[in-house]
Amino acid sequence: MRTFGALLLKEEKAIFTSPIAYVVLSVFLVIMGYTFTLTLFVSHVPTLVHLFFQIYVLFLLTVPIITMRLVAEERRLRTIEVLLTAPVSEALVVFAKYLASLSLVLLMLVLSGAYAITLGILGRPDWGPIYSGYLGLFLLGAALVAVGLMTSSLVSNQIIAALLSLSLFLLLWIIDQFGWMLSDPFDALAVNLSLLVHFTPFATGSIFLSDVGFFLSIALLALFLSVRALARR
Amino acid sequence: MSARSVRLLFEAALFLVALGLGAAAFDLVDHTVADALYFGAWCAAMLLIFSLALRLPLHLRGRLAYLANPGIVGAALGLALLANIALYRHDAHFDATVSGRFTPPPELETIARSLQDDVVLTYFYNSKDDYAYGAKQVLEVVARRHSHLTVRVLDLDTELVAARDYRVKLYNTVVVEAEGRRTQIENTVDLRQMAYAIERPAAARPDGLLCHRAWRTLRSRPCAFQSRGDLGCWRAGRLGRTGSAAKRARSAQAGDRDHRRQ
Repeated sequence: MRTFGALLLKEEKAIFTSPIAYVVLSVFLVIMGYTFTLTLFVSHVPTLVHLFFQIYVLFLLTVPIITMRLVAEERRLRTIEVLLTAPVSEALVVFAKYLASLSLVLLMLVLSGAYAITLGILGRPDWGPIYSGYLGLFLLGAALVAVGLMTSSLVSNQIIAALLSLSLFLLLWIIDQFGWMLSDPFDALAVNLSLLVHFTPFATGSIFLSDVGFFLSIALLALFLSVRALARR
Repeated sequence: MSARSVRLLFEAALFLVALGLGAAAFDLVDHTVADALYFGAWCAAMLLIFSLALRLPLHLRGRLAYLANPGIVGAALGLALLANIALYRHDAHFDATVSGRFTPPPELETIARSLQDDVVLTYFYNSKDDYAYGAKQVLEVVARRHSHLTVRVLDLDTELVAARDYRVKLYNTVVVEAEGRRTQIENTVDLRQMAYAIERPAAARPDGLLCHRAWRTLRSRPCAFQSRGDLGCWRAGRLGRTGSAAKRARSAQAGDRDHRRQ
């Protein structure tokens, strides 16, 4: 446990001493603030649904930037050899990197909570969809970070890792559009692989446990594949 | 206690939790609680499989070693797919809104649950109508929970080809199709009306027909239904426990309408 704590601390330091984290946070908050203000002044409806969809899109764009360097950078600098020869398992290394990146995503969500608090002060919002929206965003973030970590484990170039993650996320975003062109049962498979199809109910206040399971299974699968990819010499 | 024994204990606990929750869900009558317990069992089982999968050797040697990694990756993908299908079949839904915007009326829920054959509902809604949009959202929730009900929601303003194929000209028209029979309701956002429309083509069969007085009331509604099926009849065998509930609901509504008409 102590080894894991040390690994996690190392990864947290690596993330929060990098300018990438602060640039991502700043861009995220500026865009969110603009969207929130605009939505509130135009619609006069105390809801965060638009904000949740905006965060969804921003996650798809920013998570690859957060995760691209996790393993790819270590492979490029050959520090991965030092890490893998240390008396820690590959799984612990992956979990430490995963939790450190997830903490940045969580921080983004916590900071965006200011909009929910503002809404609570100014009006009387329905808190149920707000809680469910944040739950959905957290699960989405957890799944995206795991997939980003997996792609970073597969290649040794950060840019390629980021582009690979981005391509995968965009494909999973729009895959339901292709579903209608496919025959049964591939249409259902394509539609159910879509991130948006599973995220939309959360954002509007409708929670399906299968959606929770979808994001959890993606995160677990990607973490498992990351462990195997990391062990690849 | 060593890390290895802690992990072993953790896996044993996950196994017991999965087994216990699965067994508890098996006997429950309340579908939502049973499905929620099933989800707990599913989560514990997935964590257990994940923990066990991490025990697989990372560096394999031997003649078939080059096949092992793709095989493991393929098995993991297949397992994730099957796990999601299993969860989808026991899905539970929670409406987090205060107004219950996503909660279907009991009639619709009962009739959708009692379906034994596939029914396709196509709703040509008006995207600018808030009530129609609300009905669309509830229909999608019901369709996700009941595999025999397929819902296609189309915006009449943009899906002109489909509207022409179905000969639909008015906003918020519902077309229900089942085994070659078709029912159509025009200009509706009433989910109860849609529920009865779902039941009619699904239940109208040549064998063992039972007529019900609610249909007289529904048929008297101007421009409400146009169907080629056997109007106003349900199969007697379908009026089991859920069928009776739906029948009671229909009778109550029909009685209410008769009372208002008087």
